[in-house]
Amino acid sequence: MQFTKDSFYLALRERMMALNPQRRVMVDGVSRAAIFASENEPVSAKAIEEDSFYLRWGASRAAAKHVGGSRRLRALECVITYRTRGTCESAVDRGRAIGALDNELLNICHPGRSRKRDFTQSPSVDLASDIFWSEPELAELETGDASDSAAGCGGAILQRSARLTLYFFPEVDFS
Amino acid sequence: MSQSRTRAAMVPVTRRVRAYFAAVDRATESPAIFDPAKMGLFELEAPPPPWIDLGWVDNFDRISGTMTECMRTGPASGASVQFRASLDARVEFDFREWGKLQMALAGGVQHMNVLAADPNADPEPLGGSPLLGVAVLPGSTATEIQVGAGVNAFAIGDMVAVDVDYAQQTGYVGAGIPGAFVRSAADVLMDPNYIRRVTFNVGRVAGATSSSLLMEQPLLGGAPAQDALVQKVIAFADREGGSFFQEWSAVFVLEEQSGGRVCFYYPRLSPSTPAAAAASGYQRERRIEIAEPIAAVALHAAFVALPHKDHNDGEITVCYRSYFPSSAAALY
Repeated sequence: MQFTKDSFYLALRERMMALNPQRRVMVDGVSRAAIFASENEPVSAKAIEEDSFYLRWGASRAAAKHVGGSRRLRALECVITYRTRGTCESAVDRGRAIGALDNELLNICHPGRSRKRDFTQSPSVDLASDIFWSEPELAELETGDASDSAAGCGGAILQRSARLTLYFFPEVDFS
Repeated sequence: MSQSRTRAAMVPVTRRVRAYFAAVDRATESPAIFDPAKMGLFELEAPPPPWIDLGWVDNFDRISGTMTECMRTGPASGASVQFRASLDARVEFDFREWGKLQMALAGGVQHMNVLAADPNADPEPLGGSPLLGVAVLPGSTATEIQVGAGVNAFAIGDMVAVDVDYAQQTGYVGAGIPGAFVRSAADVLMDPNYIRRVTFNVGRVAGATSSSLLMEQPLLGGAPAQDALVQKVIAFADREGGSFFQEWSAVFVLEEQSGGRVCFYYPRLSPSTPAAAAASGYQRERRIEIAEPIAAVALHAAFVALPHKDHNDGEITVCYRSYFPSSAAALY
């Protein structure tokens, strides 16, 4: 499963850097692509960088109708979270900024497949199958601050979570 | 590499089916050839010529009606020899995108370009007497039509049909792709505009120079003939009924998500009645609900596969299935 996680994360990171090379953030003085696998970040890391994508892995299950035989297909849930306060002090463009993030996410998730590789080795090793995933489902916008929301401006920070399901053939021989 | 890894890649997984069509040479009944050795792994957004991308299709069904029978011999009448008694294959699907070709293939008959009509013309179901065409000048290509001062007769965004005048010929007509079969000049009232009414050589004006029209997409029939004319098209139309049958070669590709690519090649497809609609009729268009009462409308297309002689061994066949295993996949 780790190969699936790594392959998906790196596929999205590569696509994002090709689509929008400016989507970078400074973390501990280092410029990084603004897409993170939450579980790989140091525990001391800032809660969440704005204008960045955070991947969080969820439950994994056998894909229905593909549980028999030796080629079992598994599904793995993934939640991608991102937030923004826009680009100006008044934050009046935060709606557009979150829209741009939505659009970027939809773009980098297409096409919905990538090669599965073992990135624990260098150079990485082809694992002979692909991973593929569903279209991201964008959840309702959340506001970063409830009191702001009550003020009628919809919150100074806008945050969204997108959910998708990855499918992969695990490195387990069920025969 | 473990066997588990190589066998996982043997499971083709797909999300969508993409359709590509190419014209059959009706005079010789020669299909367009899909050569899997040269074309099989083509980029789905950029099919090799002469294949034309008609977009993603839904509800794709390949139906084989080929029947096998046995010769029975001996006292117990056991099956001793098998043979194929009839060769029959059909394919059905829904075009989710509408366009000239999609309508023509789903409709199956002559597909008409409704030409911009003279304001004083009598009304006709496919458009009355059209406005005069503008002559095509030498140097035109499939993407740029030289018309000289005639450029002022068109605006950016106009649809146009580009083909020659009908000159009382009989047989298949239409530049590059047969749009209709004319049995006699009287049938089409010797209408000089008739070929432009049925031609597939259509395009949309994306831009213009002082003397030429620039096409959004290349004209399907290729560069216009020297004596061709350009006429503005208002709409596309087809009819229930008519004697003409479209005939096209087709390739359907199962977009690979995991595992290998699967392609289905039909050398000759002719529009037909859907298999399940023999007595009850069928819906020409399908409504695909978005959120009631909003719905998308899909064109339902059904074809019968016509026979083709395979030059490799002289066998008569109606369709081919090719499989391109994923790299590193086990082969059996």
